[in-house]
Amino acid sequence: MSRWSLLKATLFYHWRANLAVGLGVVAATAVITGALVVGDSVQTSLLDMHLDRLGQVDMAVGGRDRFVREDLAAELQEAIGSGAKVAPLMMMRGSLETGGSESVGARTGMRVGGVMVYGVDSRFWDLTQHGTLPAPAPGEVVLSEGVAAELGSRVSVGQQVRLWMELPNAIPRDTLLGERDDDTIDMVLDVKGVVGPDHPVARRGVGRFDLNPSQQLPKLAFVALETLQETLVLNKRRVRNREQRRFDNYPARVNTLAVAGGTPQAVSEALARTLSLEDLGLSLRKLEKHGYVALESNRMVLDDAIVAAAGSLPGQSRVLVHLANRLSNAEDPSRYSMYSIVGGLVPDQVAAAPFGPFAGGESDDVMGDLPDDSIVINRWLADDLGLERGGRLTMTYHLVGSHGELPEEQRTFRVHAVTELTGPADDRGLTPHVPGITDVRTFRDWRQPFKMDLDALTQRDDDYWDEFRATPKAFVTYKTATEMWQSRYGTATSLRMAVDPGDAVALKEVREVIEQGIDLSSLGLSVQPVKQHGVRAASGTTPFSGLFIGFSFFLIGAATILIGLLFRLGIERRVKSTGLMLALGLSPRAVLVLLAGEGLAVTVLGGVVGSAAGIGYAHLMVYGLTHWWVGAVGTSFLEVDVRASSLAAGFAFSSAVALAAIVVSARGLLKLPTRELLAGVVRGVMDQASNVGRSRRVLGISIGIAAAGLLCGVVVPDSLLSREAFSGLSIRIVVFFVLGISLLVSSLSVLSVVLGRGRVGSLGGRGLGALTRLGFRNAARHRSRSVLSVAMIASAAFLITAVAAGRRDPVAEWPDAATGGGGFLLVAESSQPLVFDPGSANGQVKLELADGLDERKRALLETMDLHSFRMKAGEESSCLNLYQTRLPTILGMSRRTIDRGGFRFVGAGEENPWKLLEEVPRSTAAEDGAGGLPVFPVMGDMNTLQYSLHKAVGDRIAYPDEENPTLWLEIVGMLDASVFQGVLVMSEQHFRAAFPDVVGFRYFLVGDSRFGAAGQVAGDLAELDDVRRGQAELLESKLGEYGFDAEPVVERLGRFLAVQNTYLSTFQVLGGLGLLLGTIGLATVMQRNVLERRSELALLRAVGYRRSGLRWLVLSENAFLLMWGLVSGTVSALLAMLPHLMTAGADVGELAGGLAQLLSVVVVVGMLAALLAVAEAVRTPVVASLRSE
Amino acid sequence: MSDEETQQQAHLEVKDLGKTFSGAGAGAENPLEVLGGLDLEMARGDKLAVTGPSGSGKSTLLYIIGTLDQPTSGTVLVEGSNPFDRDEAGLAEFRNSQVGFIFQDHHLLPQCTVLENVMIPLLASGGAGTADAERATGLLERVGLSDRSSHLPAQISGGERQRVAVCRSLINDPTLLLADEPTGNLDHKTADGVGSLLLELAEEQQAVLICVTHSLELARRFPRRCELVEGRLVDLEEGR
Repeated sequence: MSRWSLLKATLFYHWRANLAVGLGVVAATAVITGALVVGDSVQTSLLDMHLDRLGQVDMAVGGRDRFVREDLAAELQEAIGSGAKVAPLMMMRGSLETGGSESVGARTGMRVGGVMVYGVDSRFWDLTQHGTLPAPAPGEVVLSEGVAAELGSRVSVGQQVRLWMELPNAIPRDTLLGERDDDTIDMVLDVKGVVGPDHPVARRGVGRFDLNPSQQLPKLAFVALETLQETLVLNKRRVRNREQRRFDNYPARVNTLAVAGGTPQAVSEALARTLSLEDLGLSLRKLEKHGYVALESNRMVLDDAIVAAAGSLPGQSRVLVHLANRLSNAEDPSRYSMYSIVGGLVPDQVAAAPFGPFAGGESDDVMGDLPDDSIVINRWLADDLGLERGGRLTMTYHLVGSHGELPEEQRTFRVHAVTELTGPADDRGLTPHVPGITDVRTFRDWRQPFKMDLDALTQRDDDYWDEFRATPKAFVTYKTATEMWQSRYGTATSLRMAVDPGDAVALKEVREVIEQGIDLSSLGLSVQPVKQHGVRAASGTTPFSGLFIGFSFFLIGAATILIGLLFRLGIERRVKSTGLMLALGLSPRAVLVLLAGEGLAVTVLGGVVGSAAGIGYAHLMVYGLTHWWVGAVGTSFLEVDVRASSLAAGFAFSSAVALAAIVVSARGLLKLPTRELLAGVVRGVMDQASNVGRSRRVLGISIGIAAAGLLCGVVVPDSLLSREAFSGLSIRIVVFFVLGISLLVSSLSVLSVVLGRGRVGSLGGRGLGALTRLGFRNAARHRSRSVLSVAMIASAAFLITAVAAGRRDPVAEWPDAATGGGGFLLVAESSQPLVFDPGSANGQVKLELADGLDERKRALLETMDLHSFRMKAGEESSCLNLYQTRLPTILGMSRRTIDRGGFRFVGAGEENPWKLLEEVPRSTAAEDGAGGLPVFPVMGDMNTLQYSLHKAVGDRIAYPDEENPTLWLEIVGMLDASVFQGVLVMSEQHFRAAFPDVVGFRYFLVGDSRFGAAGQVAGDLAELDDVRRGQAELLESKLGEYGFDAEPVVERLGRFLAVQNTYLSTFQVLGGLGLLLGTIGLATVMQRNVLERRSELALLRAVGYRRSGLRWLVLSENAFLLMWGLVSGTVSALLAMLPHLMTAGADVGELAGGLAQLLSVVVVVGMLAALLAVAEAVRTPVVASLRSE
Repeated sequence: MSDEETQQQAHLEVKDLGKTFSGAGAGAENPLEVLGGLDLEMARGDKLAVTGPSGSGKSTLLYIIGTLDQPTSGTVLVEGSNPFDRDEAGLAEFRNSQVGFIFQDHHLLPQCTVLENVMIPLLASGGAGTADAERATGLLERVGLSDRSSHLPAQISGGERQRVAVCRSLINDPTLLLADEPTGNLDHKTADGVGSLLLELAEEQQAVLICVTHSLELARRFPRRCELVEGRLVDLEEGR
């Protein structure tokens, strides 16, 4: 005989009670393990999805803005070696329209915006998982499931579609010579394949190809690389260079290289070795006549990083030229010269050969002492305008406005000197080569970047062009030039170097110095380890384990209470045995160990079974996530992944929780005097007065807190209540939640006190009333059992009600500037950037928005309040993306929009928090000591910042990454449930400084001056919907070629909220399971009560009560506890959610209906469960029960 | 010191013992004094039957002597030392080694066999070995239950259960045997057998036996009989 054999015997002897406890443990373990397995499954599925999607592609180089030689792919592949593969790839953003050639002009087809267009060939296709899906041949397109999902039955293999894309332009569109008008291109393509169930491999693989991790179905169109290059004029071609009188060879170009194999470092090193100036759009122009070479860019402006790379080379001259629309004699404006180039030079750098000196009059170097407000003109211009030294020249020129407009500026200079048009002044090399401009024969042949006044041209202008082409007619200091014409793309149009153009060795050296000195990442050509990023993003995904454990909190809590309750019920049945052990000399500790040992055995067995059940539960949850709650994950590609570590963790955690519950119950029992235990007295009827006292104290405290909360809600000013308490929760929400919880605790304490008094109502009267009162009083006999059962039910009812009350329906909301929609009606994005701002009068003219509109549309346009944002595309960081994101899309907000204000902020004290975006960027110089990087203020949505980026106000985000940041973004404000979820917003002014190469506008918020003011009283929703629809139709038809895609703000908010609402559904289902456990707990308690009172029930029968009376007695006790739990939980939750229920989006009607339904079901189920106890009661054999007494 | 002297020296001394209940049932304003100024001295081998009406405090006295309840006043000395000076673990050890309880309700563990039930007290001191099992078997043999040792309590009669309980109380060779209505649930014949057994075994063990009973028949078989009246023991007759 040993303790172990006693334990074993006890375990088997009391198997029924232990089985009940074990089932409780099974439930708790299954819930916890299941939650962990769900988390693992989401993580693994995301990882698998990412790996399948990328296929063999490990890294990517470039993307979007820079077009490198296609041949670089082969060169890079060779340079990396060790079996690496490099495929050239074209990545463009576009939109698709069904109907192909028939839709031309008619715009009858259905359009899908935001399509990622990939130009691919077999080299890329071989790197992907494509299964039987064929690669597109020239003239064909393969569409992804995402596109097919939007086009539905309108697209199938063999049909034609029209693809619209931005036409790449080497010269940025929003510079003076950038192409503005003809900026989109379309092509008709035959649909070769549509990814779908027929292509299971491609469906997981290339059909979801995306360099950024996201589980959402991407909208992709694969086109033959060759077709795309030809259409975008990026194919290999020979072009006649009229200026140089030769043919120039242009290599085929791509903007992305997909790399398979190698390490990021090896690829970076190989890239640095193989990348040539040509890949960066740079050229070394040989100016044999003047004996130097000029570094020029096909973007017309040299990036500062490139100028910096050449900084170590000796003998340099930096040049910034600009096109002056008109140069005229200030005294005699009739003497003018049209479309002249004016050069900005550094006087010191042009003092000697080969760049100077500029001789004129009596001076050998007229540039040497050129003041910043003066100008040097060449002899031709001097003669043309009749100006000499000391005269005054007026220059008119275009500036490039921030919204694509070209305001004309004017400035008058004093003529410092007239230089002869010989030597260094007669140098076409001062102006970089711009195809279509510098190489054409006459002005009339110019590819006009803006509307030119050709009528004003004079013969002398033509003569000059004929003889000197783009040779500058006038010169100012470089300082003056940068003040006037500095572009955000750079500060020099060429960098001349005193290198003999005939010296091949010297040229090679120059080339190498520049190539090796350039910081590729600053030019957007760094190696992106996309596979690695995705793997990291998948592991740092939305913590589903935590989320589900959080969701299951009440379920776990209910299971724990149930375990404790069942265990206690079990040991209460053998309370005499426990007393005996103590009487025989086993110390309370030894008895506790024995009881805990028994509990441990049950826990271990339950845990093992629970772990297996957890796998089943996880399957159920994953099924739910892919079928019922697909809104929460946005993908059906979830597969269950069972990891031993999670099973062990779930087992350990649940066992610990269950064992703790068991030990607490056992200790409670062992606190009773041994004598009472021996007498079989379980603290029930005689619950100590001190416990009632404790309940009273708890009641007092909780009522005090509730009253304080209520007072706070009524007395404290609204402005204070709206402030943030913590984690984005306003003080009001916290106060009311505390109020609700306090009320819940109060109601349980009241129950405890009432039951503790031992008398619930008088027993007088007769019939059902008297029986009901007796039933209520019976509930007081085992106060702790009753209170625990009610606590389970009340907590679950609280959860379910609070969750149901938390649902929002933004579609029902009237636009209000002070809400998450900012009072706007539409949110739109375009696939191609709009250089002109459609929100400005000038932009609307340029984009021809008002042309051909009927009366209604014209009226709509007049009241339309459109706000355009610049956009630096980044990762999808809204709650719709499960992967952890690093760098979301960044928007540039104009001053007009900042001044407009609006939206709801978390904890912002300022009247218009948007103004914080305009704070002067700080520098990290003070922190890191070095030159420092700029720190730009940004704002984001609370959801994005907290859950996707894990950032708070005051935190910083590195751009482009932590390893090599070029700038920092500092969070200065947090928006609450806004349409800006998934993006960061910065001021347009800062945006242009931070991202100079981002062109135009791609994100829009559209309002109407008649709707959306803060606090506006809701009007006719139908009229509002009409306006919304009209605006969308107008803009989508007028801006269709840009892939303009508008969506009602309420729908976008609804999509974001769909995730939240889906989580709430999950929460509610799990809460419902908790309620079910509560009901089971109550039923068990009732059953136990009846068993313990068999003799009493027999006595009642003996003295004349009928069976129906006994039924009523038991049911009334059950109903009393059930209703107390339901009512206290529901009322407390409704009070906690009061601030939310009073907002516009809360659907009170539906809430009331849903709750009434749910709670009715619970009452019915709860009462039905009690029927078991009722059956037990009426089955009680009268004589036997009385005898046993 | 001779054996006789050892036996004559008081093994159990109860001095001025008082017990007042002021719990939930009694009410703090109306304390109920059950025992007051109770004195008792017993030497090894002494046997005492305590009678008295229900609620007179008989069981309370027994439980206090057995350290299952605390006195409100007075002292209990066993072999000259007060067991209540010990901590909880010490009290448990005291009960285990010095006290053998026999209750009206036998309190056998239904999950254990007869033999195992007898050995239950050994678990408190670490478990039972083969020698203990032999001793338990010997005890069962002594009470005529050797053939029932592998039976479960549910498989034997009420009298047999009580005999098992007697064996259990003796397994650790206690010096104090405390019986609370040991025959209360038994028929006349069985009660007679159990009473005899108790007296015989206490004699054999030279243990102090205190038996609380309502049965005058059983009480009469004890050398010393007292009635608990107003919280004190009153000797009914000199039984020695």
